[in-house]
Amino acid sequence: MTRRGANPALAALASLAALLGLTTLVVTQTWYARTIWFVFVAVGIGALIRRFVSRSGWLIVPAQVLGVLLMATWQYAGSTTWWGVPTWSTVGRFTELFTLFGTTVAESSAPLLANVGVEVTLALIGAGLAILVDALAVTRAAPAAAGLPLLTAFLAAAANSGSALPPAYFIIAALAWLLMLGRQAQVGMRGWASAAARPMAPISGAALDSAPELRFGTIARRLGAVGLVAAIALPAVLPHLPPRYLLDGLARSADGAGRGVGKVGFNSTLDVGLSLTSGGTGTILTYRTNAPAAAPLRVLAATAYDGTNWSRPAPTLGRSARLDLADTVVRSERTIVVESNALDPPSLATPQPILSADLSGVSWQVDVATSDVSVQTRPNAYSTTYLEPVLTADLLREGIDGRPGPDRLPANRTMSAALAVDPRSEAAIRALTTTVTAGAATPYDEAVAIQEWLRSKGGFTYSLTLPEAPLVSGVVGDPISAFLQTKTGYCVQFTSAMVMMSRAAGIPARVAIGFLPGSQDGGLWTVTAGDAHSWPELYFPGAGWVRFEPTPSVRTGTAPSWTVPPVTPTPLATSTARSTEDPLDRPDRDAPDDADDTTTARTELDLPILDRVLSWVAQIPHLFLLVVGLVVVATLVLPVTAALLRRVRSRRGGPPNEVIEAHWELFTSELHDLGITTPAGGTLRDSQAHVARAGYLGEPARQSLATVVDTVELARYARPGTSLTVDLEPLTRSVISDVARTRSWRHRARALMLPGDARRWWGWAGMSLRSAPRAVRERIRRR
Amino acid sequence: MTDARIRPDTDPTAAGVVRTTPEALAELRAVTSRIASAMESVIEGKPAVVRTAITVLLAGGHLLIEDVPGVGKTMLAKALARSIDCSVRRIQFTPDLLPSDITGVSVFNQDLRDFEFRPGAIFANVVVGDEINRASPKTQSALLECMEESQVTVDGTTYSLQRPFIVMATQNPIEMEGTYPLPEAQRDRFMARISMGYPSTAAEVEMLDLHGGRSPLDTLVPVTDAQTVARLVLVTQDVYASPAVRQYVVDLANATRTSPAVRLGASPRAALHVLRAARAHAALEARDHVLPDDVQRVAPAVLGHRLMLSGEATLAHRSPAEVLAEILRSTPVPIGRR
Repeated sequence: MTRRGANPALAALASLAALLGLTTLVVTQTWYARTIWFVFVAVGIGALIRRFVSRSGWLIVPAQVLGVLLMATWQYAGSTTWWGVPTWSTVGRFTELFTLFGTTVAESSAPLLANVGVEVTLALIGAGLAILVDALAVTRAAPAAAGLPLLTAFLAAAANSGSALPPAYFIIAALAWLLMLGRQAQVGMRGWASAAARPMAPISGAALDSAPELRFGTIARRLGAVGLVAAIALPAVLPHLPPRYLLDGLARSADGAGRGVGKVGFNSTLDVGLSLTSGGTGTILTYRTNAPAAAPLRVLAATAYDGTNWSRPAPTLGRSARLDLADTVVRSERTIVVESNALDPPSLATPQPILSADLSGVSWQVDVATSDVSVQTRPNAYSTTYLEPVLTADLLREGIDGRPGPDRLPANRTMSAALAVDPRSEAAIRALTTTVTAGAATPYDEAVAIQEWLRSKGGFTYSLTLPEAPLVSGVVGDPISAFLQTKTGYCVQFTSAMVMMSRAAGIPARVAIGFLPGSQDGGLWTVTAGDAHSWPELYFPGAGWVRFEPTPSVRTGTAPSWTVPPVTPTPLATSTARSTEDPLDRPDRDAPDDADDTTTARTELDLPILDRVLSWVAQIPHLFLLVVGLVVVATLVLPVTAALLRRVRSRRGGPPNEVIEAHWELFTSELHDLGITTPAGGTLRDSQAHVARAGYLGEPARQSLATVVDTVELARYARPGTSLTVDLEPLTRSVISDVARTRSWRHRARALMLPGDARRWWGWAGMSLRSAPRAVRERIRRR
Repeated sequence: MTDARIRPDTDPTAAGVVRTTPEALAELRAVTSRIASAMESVIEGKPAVVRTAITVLLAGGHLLIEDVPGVGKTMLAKALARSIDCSVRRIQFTPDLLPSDITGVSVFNQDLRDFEFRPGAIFANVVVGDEINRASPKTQSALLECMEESQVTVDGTTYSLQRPFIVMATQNPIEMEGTYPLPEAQRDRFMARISMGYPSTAAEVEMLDLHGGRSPLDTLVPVTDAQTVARLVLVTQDVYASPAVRQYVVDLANATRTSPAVRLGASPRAALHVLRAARAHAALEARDHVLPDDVQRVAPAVLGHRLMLSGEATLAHRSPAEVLAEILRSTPVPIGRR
């Protein structure tokens, strides 16, 4: 890259790096590809104008804007142009596109489903950023100022979705900006006359420190180090910023302590086909409860499935919900006191079924069918009372109040909706359910069999990242079929599968969305964004909606005691035994018990990082892996060849003078790689003087070099029979390392990656390979 | 004038083979550094010139000192002669000098009734020929023949000259009146030509102080003798020149012959002289083998006066030294592979 082209290219790079964060806000990234085009068009126009027309700025920005707009017009509103020239209807078309973007942003939460409006708007924003950065960093030569728009772009990404932005985005953007800054500083330094005159004499350590222009570098480096340390240490020390401020994406996620900094919106729909990327550590709720074991907090229950999304039917609001619990079931009333709440209205998280609630003055209602609570405004603290029925396997299997079977189901709209199987995957689900529930006598046994199959027997893997959906006769199949085929997913997929399979078995089922109980510290429970969860609720007459747990992750813990029949010989025996001793003691979902569940612990170990890495690797197309592998191999060929050659040469016997000549050849070749070419046709002493001067050798290295040269001279010119020291390796090593110390990183990298003798060897090998057939032919002809 | 040491075909060191043992080289180094310091006490600030003179002495060649009057040409020659305890003759060349003045002459001895050889000025270890270009070509030729052959033939009898034998001739390039410039062929007999050049300011101030009273030559005592020097010359001849170095010398000579800037290049004798001088240069550094660097160091002095530049080069005001430096730069040093 030429010196002139480097600055605009760096500006483009920095802009694209800062925009990288925005990719987390959109589901598909076609807009980013467009942005790359737009950015390069803008920067390219700027570079061309600076090169050929004028270096002053007034012309550049309008030309860049015009260029990008024209490109966007041809791309997105080609039909409205008149021979490529925008017309009045082009403006209308863009208004439509921008309106579409506005509507999308207003109606859906991040990540946005990409449509053409989102695409064009984001791409234009990206291009605008690049134009601004280009103008500041290149035209005005002030890359430091360009940091502001870059930071704005990054913050826009950081502030606009509900989860933490991985620190990698910040690091990449910051590095790109620093690169730009460093490059500018370097160009500035080159202008100083003294910088070029310096390296004529060997530089000693003391001289290095005393040279004034080098002292500037030292000061700058120290300032940089201090600044970096301060940037990390200060947030930890300052009282109102958590220590993981930077790592949590500038703490954009909620800390939930009632300061109003963090809020969490809860989407009322649940996309089954979407990877869960919004894991986080932001606190949603803190609460205390009088229940011996905290129950999951439900936000809503969804019954309707449209092939991709779960959604709840329009609620019938009232003051209290219908309770389907038979009077004979033993129950306890539990209370939960929420001390801080970051959940946006209208959602409210509480264990169900709810009996009463005190929302500290905020008005609230419940959905009669699901008992979901909805609120007008967000209560900062509240308490609710809920029922905790004592359910056992026997009770559910035998039926309560003599109401065991599906024939006793209440016939209403809710129930029929809770029995609807997704038509796209119905055939597969029904076939599968028949297999899985074979031998089950009661609906309860069927449900247990389905849960057991999903948790362990079916061979499913828990992963937050979904694999590529397999193609069914050429098209992407529906998410549930895909899940049953890939057997990889997280709670949403497990839950959806269980709900659909239960419905196929004739058990009404729905998806509950909410939070796991969280972690406990001294009676105070903390629910974070990472505790978001979904689970199936199955309807059993007399018992109402009963929670099941088909998701086999460490966090979700063991299945509820009532979903595990005591007779079943499973590794869950511990929990079962305990639950029979004390029915109130539900299996604790938190850490201590996790180890009990050896099956799930071993097979579905929730190792987020490793899991993610592995699943990423699994997602990368094989061709790409092949290409990467080939690139790695190609990169390593020359260094490895060089190392092997060196080894072979140093071990090769033969006359001492030949060994010494080989050493010398290798030595000069390595020096050449480091950018010091010994004068061709000169004497050895000329080479010695040149290397000592050009390599700024220190005294020990000069001595080593002199010994090497003396030995080679003896080998070449002395009387035959003169005794020779053969082992020059340590001496040449010391000289090479001394020379490498003074060379630029480019030279060092070249010496490492593209060693000259390895290149020559391959050239020679290639040549002899090409000439081999001819040599063989000639030999044959001679015979 | 008879000299007891003059015997035909005598060689004081002929017995025994002399080798470049480390001891011999150490002795050579010690002796030559004594000679050098003795000479430098007279010739201030000219170590390179002194070194070349000693190199030529060891190589068994002859030295032509060419410079303007008064820069110490004769002083240099005398200093070298005085620092060795040996016979020294000085010949002031004039237009009427006869060849027999140099070689010697047979005269009829009345008592013995026979011809008796009276050796000329050439029968000495060190012969200082002052203003050599003032003698007639005939006389010059007589000297040069002696130089080349190291022997004198008078009336059918051959007299071998003493060892070591070095002729140091001086000549003045600017006084053209009444001079007979040495033809190229005769200049070729001299191993090296050096120019004194003016001394540096500091050296000149020092010189005024030292030479103000009386000549420092008077206080110069010999630091070695002729026999030692003769042995050292033999040591020098044993310095090893590898095939690569010999090839390099030939390459250089060839390069002077093919260079477009040179009308007359180096003769094979010149190549021989280069190698001999390079041997001496190596021996002076106590090395028993010649390096290409030795060749490069002696080449300007040895080849400089032999090159005749072409018309274009002369018109371009290029000096032989410049042309030679370019040839040295462009001729690759062969890598010795044995």
